[in-house]
Amino acid sequence: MYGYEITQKVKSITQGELLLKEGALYPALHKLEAEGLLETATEVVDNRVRKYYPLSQVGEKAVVNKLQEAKDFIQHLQLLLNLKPTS
Amino acid sequence: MQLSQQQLEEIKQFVLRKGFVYLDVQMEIVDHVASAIEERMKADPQLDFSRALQETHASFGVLGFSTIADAVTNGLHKKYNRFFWKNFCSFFSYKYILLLLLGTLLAYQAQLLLMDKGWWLTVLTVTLLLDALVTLLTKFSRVKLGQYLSFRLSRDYFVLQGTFLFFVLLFKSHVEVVDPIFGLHLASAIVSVFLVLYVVYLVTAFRKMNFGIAESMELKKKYQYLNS
Repeated sequence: MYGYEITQKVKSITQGELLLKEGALYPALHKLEAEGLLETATEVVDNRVRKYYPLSQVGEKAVVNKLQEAKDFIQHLQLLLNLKPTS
Repeated sequence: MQLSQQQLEEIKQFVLRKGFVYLDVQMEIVDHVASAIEERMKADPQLDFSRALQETHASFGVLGFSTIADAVTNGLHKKYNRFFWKNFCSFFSYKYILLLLLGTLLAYQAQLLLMDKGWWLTVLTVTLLLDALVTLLTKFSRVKLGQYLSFRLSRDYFVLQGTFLFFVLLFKSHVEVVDPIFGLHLASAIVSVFLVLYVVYLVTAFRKMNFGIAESMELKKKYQYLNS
């Protein structure tokens, strides 16, 4: 996927509830690229050069752990949100 | 809805006027802006191109396109630094360690042989020749790839070239004056280690520059294809 496509995908999956702005997207993409988790490629598409951000082999392995970390975080957050005030 | 060649050129000129001159930075901004404009014009067929461009630019907020430009620059810095240190450290693996030790020993012996014959002048001359070679090579490449940020950033480690000269001059007086300890000329040994580290540093900086050149050349080919 390319940068703009990612913003649109997030928008469409969350039905417009979550808007991924350029200021958040591009620093994250370039950080992941610098860490070797993304293996970028450029292509000529519609008379312009476009950069795609697929996962690298290292990235594909890391994504499993990252997803688990995110799920654990949400689970812990859920526990905190379900806390009832004690009298 | 697909933008015409002329409209893409207008976006490019707009981005250029905002001060983003490097092609690898422009590439990401132009594609993002063009995709956003296409989406806007598809959603509202009455919307004219200039208005769509202004609206898209405004949607970037007060920082404008610099959000993308900064991300590209920081990302490239991190990528090349990572490449440099990974390569630099690889020289201290079992594959090269014998070669490094041999180089240090040779440098040490050469200093002992030249001790009374102006050794530091030799080290200085060799270092200056290496520096001149590096400057010539980087200048030659800059002529062809100056428009690419990846190339420019891949050369930044050469700015520390003069540091080695500083150490040579710092140890000069010690090498000439200090007596050996158990037969070892400590200052000469330190200079030898620095000399080997300097060569490793230069070789790694060259590898990094070549990596930057390869990435820039790949992008340059895409632009040549686009403009043909």
